[in-house]
Amino acid sequence: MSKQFSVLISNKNSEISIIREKFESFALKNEVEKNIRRNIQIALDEILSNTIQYGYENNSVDKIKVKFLIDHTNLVIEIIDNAKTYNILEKDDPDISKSIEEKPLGGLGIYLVKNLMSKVKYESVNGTNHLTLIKKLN
Amino acid sequence: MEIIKTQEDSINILQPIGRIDSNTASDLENSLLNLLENEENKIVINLDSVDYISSAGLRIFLMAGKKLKSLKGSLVLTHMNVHIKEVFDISGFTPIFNIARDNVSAVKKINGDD
Repeated sequence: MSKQFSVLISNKNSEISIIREKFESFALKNEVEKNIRRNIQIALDEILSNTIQYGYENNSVDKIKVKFLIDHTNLVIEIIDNAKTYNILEKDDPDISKSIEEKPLGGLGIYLVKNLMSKVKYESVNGTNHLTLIKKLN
Repeated sequence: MEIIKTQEDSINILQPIGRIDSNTASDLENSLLNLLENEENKIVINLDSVDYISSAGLRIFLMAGKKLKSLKGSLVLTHMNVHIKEVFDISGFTPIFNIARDNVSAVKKINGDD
């Protein structure tokens, strides 16, 4: 049996905490282990803060929908927004072997998401971004 | 976010409480910049009460690490949980930071007794 819920937030940084809290209580209720919850909290923070910071022009107000679905094997999160078309899978990975002096400040968020999730899928549908994050539960 | 600040000899220990993400990273940044402005160049960040760190937090660690390296200061991270360690490993941060088990060994590292 699967369980699901969705949350609609405004494209404001202060709204990310709404998603964080709703996900946490949903995940706790469904006995998702701590490290998986942490990985997903990081992924949500990376994706949502990125979209809110870079995705909109002239501070335009919009809504972002986040859907959560859990079954026996996977936790699936779908993030749907009307921000600028952006496929995170096309972003080049950073060179993580660089020294402390050479490492740039920033550019690790998407890379963390790709590494912390089991699978990431992106689709642009009629100008909306549909990003799906899949985390295997065992 | 709440950050507990203590001092031991000339070493400043910061203990942030909670998660370090896009919402809270600037609090840690301000605490670190404040120490650097006051020429406090020996810093330990105790991660015992930190649940997880997102890239916004990693950016602050890197900023402090770069500054303290160029000032010939010290930055040591302690009490890292397995999850933070995983994020550090993925990001290539484990080899570039000075990581100690606890504050006692961090102070020893900074004082050169170790």
